[in-house]
Amino acid sequence: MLNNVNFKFVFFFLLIISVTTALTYKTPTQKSKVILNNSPLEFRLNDISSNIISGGPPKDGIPPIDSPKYVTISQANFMESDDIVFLIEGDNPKIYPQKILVWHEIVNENFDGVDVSITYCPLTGSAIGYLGDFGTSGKLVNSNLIMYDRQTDSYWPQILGQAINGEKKGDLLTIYPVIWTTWEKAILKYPIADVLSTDTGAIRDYTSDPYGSYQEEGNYYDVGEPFFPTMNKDLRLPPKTVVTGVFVGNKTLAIPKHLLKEQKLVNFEFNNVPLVFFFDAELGALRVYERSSEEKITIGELTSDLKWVPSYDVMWFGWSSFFPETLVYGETN
Amino acid sequence: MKILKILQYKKPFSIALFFSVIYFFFYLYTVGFLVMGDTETKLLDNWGDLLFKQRVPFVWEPIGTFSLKIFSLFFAPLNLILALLLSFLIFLNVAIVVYSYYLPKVCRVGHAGLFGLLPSFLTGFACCVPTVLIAIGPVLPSLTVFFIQLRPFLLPSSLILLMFNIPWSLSRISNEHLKQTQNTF
Repeated sequence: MLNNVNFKFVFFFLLIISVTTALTYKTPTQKSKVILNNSPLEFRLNDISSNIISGGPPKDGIPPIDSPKYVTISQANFMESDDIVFLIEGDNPKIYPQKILVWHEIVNENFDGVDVSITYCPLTGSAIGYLGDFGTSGKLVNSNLIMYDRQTDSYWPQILGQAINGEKKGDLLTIYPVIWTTWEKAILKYPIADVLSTDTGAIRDYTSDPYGSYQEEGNYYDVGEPFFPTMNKDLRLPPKTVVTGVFVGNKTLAIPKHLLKEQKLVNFEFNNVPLVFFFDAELGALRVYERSSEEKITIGELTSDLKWVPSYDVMWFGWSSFFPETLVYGETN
Repeated sequence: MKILKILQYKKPFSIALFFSVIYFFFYLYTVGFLVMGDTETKLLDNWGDLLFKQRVPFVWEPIGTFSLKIFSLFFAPLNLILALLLSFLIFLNVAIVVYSYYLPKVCRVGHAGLFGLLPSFLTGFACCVPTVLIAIGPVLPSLTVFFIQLRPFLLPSSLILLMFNIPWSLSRISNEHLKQTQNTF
């Protein structure tokens, strides 16, 4: 009987069925329980929510590190001097190697009773700290990681920092300062810092970065287009340009980092708020603060009393996809 | 059974074994479980929690590592079983192809059935992006989305193609051919 069956026909029939099913499969989206009175904000959040796509992994398929372990700097023999790290400053400094976070994207911490998530999205080059406890949804929007909160399962795009659906729809997260720097710079300034260990509870090849390398040119991190579709394509800057995204009231500002490397310090007013941003060469970081008065200040007058303005480094295409109305420093001054 | 008779011949058996071993290790490499460099041999304390946890469809979390000196193997039992199953199917398919090469031209099975193994090479995934797309670079964002939607069906497609190709190929080999080729190998 088998001799009479046209197996070639069977193969292609099954393949066609599989492909058709795959193409028509739609990623299920959450339904919101919160109605924002049909405001422009709600329309915007709904618009973002309708652009959610599956990144492939299931919920927590990219496993967050919920019980982080640390080693001392001298024990961290897996690090090289020009490795990218994310730094928490203060009395108990902590260093989170990019080569570990590229595989986990979220580290959930508790600092003095306060939940803090250190989040990193490799696709948009954004390392952001948020108050809260989050997991990875496995979904993306604008090529950016969508987190979910463990309490209500609401979705929070990492760059947006605002819930786009679920019980918390419309709520905003509080940004916790995280510095993007290098291993060499971080350990020079904070020689007693704890370093996130490779003992994460999961097995990954922490010696390699699946997307490319920050130490080399011509790969995903510095050239080319995003892997996934974005809602807006803004050509004011090349897509992989690193900007420091700044939130001032209801407006956003993008500062191309390379401009401040040259200018060092800028006194600036934005959205009626006097700001000062300067390039901290010690860590290779752009810092943004609010001036107490409209008087301009110099590098010598920078003090720890200045109020930090929520900001973080991110690739231009990611920032402009979520904030198409953003101003770009250099265009406005 | 025809296949058992074919496997009695040294040439089809040894060539098929060679290719199936190569495939076994290459498949593990494409899913990121065979990496360069040495690591310690260990079993994770939380291996029970990870045993059935999937990273993406058909790729399970490894529960330990095994040092092979130059290489390291990330040990996920279910992926190893899958790799062995695929390798076994490759072994049978290659054996039939090699055997049929010595038959009259009109009876040869050809290599088309071996294309069934190709989808299984595309199942590797690095975090959010299929590794094959990382390798070739962002081509079209819509292509990435399409590929991710297609991905859950790639491995089953490989299995189906490889399984169905065996009886189909054997149907083209008669018992008379088996007798005629007895002295060929």
